[in-house]
Amino acid sequence: MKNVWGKGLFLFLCLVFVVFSSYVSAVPAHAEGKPLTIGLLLPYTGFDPRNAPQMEAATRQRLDEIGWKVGDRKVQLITADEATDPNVGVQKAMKLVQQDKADVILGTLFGNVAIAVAGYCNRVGVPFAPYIEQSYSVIKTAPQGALLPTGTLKGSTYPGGLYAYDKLGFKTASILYSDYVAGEEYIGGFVEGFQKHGGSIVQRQAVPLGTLDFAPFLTNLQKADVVAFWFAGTMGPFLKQFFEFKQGQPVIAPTYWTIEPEIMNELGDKAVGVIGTGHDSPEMNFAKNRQFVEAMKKRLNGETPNHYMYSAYITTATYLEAAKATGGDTSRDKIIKAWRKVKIETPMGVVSFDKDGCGVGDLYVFRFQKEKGNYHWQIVDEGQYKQKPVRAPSE
Amino acid sequence: MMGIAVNMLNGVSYGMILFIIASGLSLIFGVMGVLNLAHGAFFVLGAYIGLTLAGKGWGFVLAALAAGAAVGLLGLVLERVFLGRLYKQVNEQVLLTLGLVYIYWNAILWIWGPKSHIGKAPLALQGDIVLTSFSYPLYRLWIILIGLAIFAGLWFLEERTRIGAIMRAGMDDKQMTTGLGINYPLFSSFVFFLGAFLGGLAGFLGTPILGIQPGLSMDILLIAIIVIVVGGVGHVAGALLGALLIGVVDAFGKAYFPDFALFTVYLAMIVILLSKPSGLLGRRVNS
Repeated sequence: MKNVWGKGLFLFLCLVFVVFSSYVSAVPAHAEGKPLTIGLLLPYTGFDPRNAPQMEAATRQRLDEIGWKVGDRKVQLITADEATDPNVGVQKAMKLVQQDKADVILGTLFGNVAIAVAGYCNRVGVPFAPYIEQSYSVIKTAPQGALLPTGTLKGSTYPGGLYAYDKLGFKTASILYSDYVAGEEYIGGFVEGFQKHGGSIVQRQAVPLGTLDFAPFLTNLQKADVVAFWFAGTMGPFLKQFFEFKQGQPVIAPTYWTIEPEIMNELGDKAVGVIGTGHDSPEMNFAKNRQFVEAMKKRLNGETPNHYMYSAYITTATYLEAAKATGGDTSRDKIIKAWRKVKIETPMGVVSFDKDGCGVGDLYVFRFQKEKGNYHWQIVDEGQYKQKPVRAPSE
Repeated sequence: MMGIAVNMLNGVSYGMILFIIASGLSLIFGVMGVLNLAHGAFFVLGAYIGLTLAGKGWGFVLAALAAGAAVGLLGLVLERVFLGRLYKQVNEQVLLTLGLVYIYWNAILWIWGPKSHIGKAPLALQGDIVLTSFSYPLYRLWIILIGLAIFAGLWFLEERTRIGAIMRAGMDDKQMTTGLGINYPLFSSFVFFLGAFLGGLAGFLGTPILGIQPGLSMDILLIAIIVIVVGGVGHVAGALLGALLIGVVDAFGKAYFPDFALFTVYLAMIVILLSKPSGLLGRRVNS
C-alpha cells in the first residue's frame, strides 16, 4: 500500500514538472523580464585575432547609442570566441543558444566559420548575420534565417574588376589569392567584373593559407597589365615583398581595407597608385559617418575605424532596427521579415536588403594617394555602384 | 633557368630563417630531451621585442641581440622554475610548454595588441642587388650570410669547445657525464638560454621578410619541428641541412606545384623518415 502511494506521488510530481516545463518553454520570446540577448561570436584567438576587440567595440557603440534597450526590452550582449575554427564556432553558438538563450547570433569572421554557424542556426531556428561580407553560401545554407548586411564576398569586389577594365584600360590580369573560400570569392568577384567586358586572366596562383614568404609565387608571376591579389591576414607582407621583387606592374587589392594601414604607411611612396574597393571610409563627409568616426576614436584611444568596425556597427544597427519594428518580438520568422525590410542611414550610407537578405548599399573604388605629405585612400570612382545589391551577377 | 636560380635563392633564404629557429629547438631537445612547444612563442616574442626596441631607435644589430637575450632570459626562467622540476616526465613537459604557448600568446596580445607588423631591414641592407640577369632583394641575401655565420659559430661551439664536448657527451650518456663531475643542471640552463636566444633572434631577423602577427607561433613551431625531424636532432649541421632542404622544397613546391604546395614539405619529411628514421644527420637522443 505504501509503495503504491509512493509511486503515485512520484508520477504526479513528474506530471506537474512536465506541465510546468511546457508552460515555461511556451512563454513568448519577448516575455517580460527576459532581455533581448545578442550572442556575439568573434575570433578573439586563432589565425587572425586582430579585429575582434574592435568589432566588439563597434557593437557596443551601437548598443550605447540606443541605451541598451529596444522598446521596453533590455538588451544584453554575450560574447564568445569562435577561434577561427568552424567546430569551435558551432560549439560556442550552441552554448549561446542553449545556455545563454541568445535571440540572435551575430559575428564570425572567416567564411568557413560563418557557413558552419549559419547551418547550425538554421537548424535551431535562430537568426544569424555575419559581420563583414561572406560567401553567398551563407544565405543558401540558411535561406530562412541568415542575412548578409554588407553583402557577399564576390559582390564587394566586382566593381573593382569593372573599373580595372573599363576605366583603367587593363586588358590582362595576373591573380593571386589565398586558397580557401574567401580568397576564391573575393578574387572571383574581381575576375567576374574584369571579364565582363572582355578582360582576360593570364595566370591564377592559389597560395596556401598562412603563407608568409611569397617569394616563390612572385618569382613565378607572369607579365600582365595588372596584378590583383587577395590574402587572408597577409596582404601587407605580400605587397611589401611584391615591391621588393620589383615586379613593376600596377597592383589592385580588391579589398583595400584588408591591407594593414600601418604597413601601407611604411610602404609609403612605393604603394601610391594601388587600387581597391570598399564600402566605407572615415574620410567620407556626411553627418552619420563623422559622428561614428568621432565616437569610435574616443572609444579606442584615437584609432580610426576600419571596415571591420563599420560592418559590425551596421549589422548590429540593422538587427536592432528590426527588433524595434517587431516591438521586441525576436521569434525568427517575424524578426527576419522585419530585418529584410529595414532601410536605414548608417555611417556606410543607406543600407537595406534585397529579397534574399543580401545587403544593398554603396561601393566605391579607392586609390592610395599622397597628399600634403600624408598617405590615405582616396575615392576615385563612386558613380557606378550606388544603392545596388552587394552581390555579383552570377550569385 | 633564371626562375630556378631565383627560387633556389628563395628557398635558401627562407631556409636560413628556419635554421636559426630550428637550431635552438634542436639544441634544447638534443641536450635536455625536452620538446619545447613554446619555442614558436619565443620566435614571436623575439620579433615583437626587437621591433619595439628598433622603433625606439635601437640599431638593428643591437635590437636583434637584445631581443634574443630577453627571450633567452625568459627561457632560463622557464627552465629553472618549471622544466627543471619535470626531469624525465615527458608528458608533463609537453603539457607545460603547450600551456605556456597560450600564456605567451595572450601576453603578446595584451602588450602589443593583435596587430601584425613588418620589420625594416637596416638601411644598408635595403634595396636589391643585380645578379646576372635579375635583381634580388639584398636583405634576403644577407639572411643567408647571417645564417651561415650563426651556423659557423654554433658548429665551432659544438665541435671545438669544452662546452660542445659536454653537449655531445650529455647527448650520448647524460648520467656518465654527470658522473664525471659536470654540473649538468647548470649546463642545461645555459643550453636552454642559448636555444631560446636563437628562437628570439630568428623572430626579429625574420620580420623584414615574414612580418609578424600573434598567431604565428604554432605555424612556425610546426615547421621548425619538421626541420629538426628531417635534419636530425641534436646536431647543428643536421638543423642546417634540414632547414635548407625544407626551405628549397617549399619554394620549388610553391613555384612549380602550387596545387600541392601545402603537401610538398610533408612529402619530403615522409620520404626522409622512411629512409632514415633518425633524420639526415640524427643522433640518438638520450633522455
